[in-house]
Amino acid sequence: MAQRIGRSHFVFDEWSRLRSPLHRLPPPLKLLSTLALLALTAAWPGAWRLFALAPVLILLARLPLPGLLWRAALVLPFTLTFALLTWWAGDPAHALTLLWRSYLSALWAALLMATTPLEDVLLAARRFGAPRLLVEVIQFTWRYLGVVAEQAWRMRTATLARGADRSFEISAASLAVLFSSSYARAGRIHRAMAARGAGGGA
Amino acid sequence: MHIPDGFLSTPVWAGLAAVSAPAVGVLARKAQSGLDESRVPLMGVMGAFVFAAQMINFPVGIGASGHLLGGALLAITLGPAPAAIVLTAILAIQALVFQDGGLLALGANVFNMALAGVLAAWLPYRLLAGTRARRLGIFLAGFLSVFVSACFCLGQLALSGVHMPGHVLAVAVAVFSVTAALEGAITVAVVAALERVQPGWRREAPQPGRRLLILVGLAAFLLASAGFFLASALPDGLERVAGLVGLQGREQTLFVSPFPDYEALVIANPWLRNAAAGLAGLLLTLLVCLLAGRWISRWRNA
Repeated sequence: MAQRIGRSHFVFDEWSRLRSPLHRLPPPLKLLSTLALLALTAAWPGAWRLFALAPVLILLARLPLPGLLWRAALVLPFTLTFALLTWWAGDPAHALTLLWRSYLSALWAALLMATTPLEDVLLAARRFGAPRLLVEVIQFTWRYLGVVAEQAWRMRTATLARGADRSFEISAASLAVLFSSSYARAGRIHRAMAARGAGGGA
Repeated sequence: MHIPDGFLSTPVWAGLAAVSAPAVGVLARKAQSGLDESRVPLMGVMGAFVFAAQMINFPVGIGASGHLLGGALLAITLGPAPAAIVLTAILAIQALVFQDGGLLALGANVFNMALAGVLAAWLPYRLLAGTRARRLGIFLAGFLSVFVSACFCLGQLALSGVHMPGHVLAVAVAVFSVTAALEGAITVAVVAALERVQPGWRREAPQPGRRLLILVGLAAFLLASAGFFLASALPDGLERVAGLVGLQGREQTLFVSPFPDYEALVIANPWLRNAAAGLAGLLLTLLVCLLAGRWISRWRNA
């Protein structure tokens, strides 16, 4: 279950900085049309026809089709579980609907993120009324995700290298150290920001 | 459990988004007021910490392992409003970047984990923090944050027409209990280790006078979530009770609706009716809890 957060997690960062007609569209427009497509997919029983539209948009955006299809498949473990349960409960038609609906929806979200950098999506969300604090916390979390995750992985490696047994107490102690070092890191970040003039009298 | 898009029916996701968006707005203002600027980097780094914490495994016998989910730990260390904002930020990143949970379903996921989950963690901790049963409070915080979120999640899926056989539901509740107990145990262990590493971070104990209020709130909240889960998982139950009491035939004459067309539309669509009934019940319960809390606090102050 331990999975290293690595390059594959940041693939949208590369894709969203490519150039294409879709990448050039204004981010608020892309966010709104993604939400519209999602709502349409959720409500229209014949929305599977939109599967024809998705590859066209992906190719128009000059994105790798298999890569994006694979990315959207991340939703399938959850979907398959519940589709199987629904099938078992005697509703195979609904099970199939769940499968294509959730996969198509994941494809729309992936298309948005592959054509728009996260900071532009957040700026667009901010224009539609998302609270400033929330947007800032998302930006900080995204910025330090790789840093803290890398530290957690180094701690894990170091613990294993010292020949530690896998135990509940050691894991808890590691998390406590990671927590307090993250706390200290946040303090350093704040002082560095203040030293550069951030916040001030705001 | 992050609900992806395509699972929730339109009234359910739209209704929960309409509940969650203003709630997050209010909590953001509450988390910001009276706190200095250093809180923003802290909340952001804590969000990254929760992501990273998933890489540290907690072995639980026979080869299985789990990891921290983090809602209760955040509620205990940061307080409820900042914890809700950090969890909302995490859910947004998971939905946008990791295809873990849907964008339309974000309102539902925020409601389940960032609002209901944090509340379910904060109330028992707050209730028991100043007593000798503090560890029990921390365990209950971890347990309830996961269990309540999972029950709401299943309830919303059932409202949206994702039906599960009865015995599967029983197995699901058993699995949730194990996951929730693991989260409780991990939270207790991490908080204990944290107090050894960094003594003095502990938040102040609650004033004894408010304990009754919190207890009533916790009881009402748990009843509401259990009721929501049962009512939506067994949508026919309410109708059966109505039939037993003999209301079945008299409904039409009892309630004269100001919007007959709308009423007909709602009655004709069972899923719309279930969703509307569930959400209305939820809102009503929250309102009752709020009013009861106000009344009790005024009564105690008088």
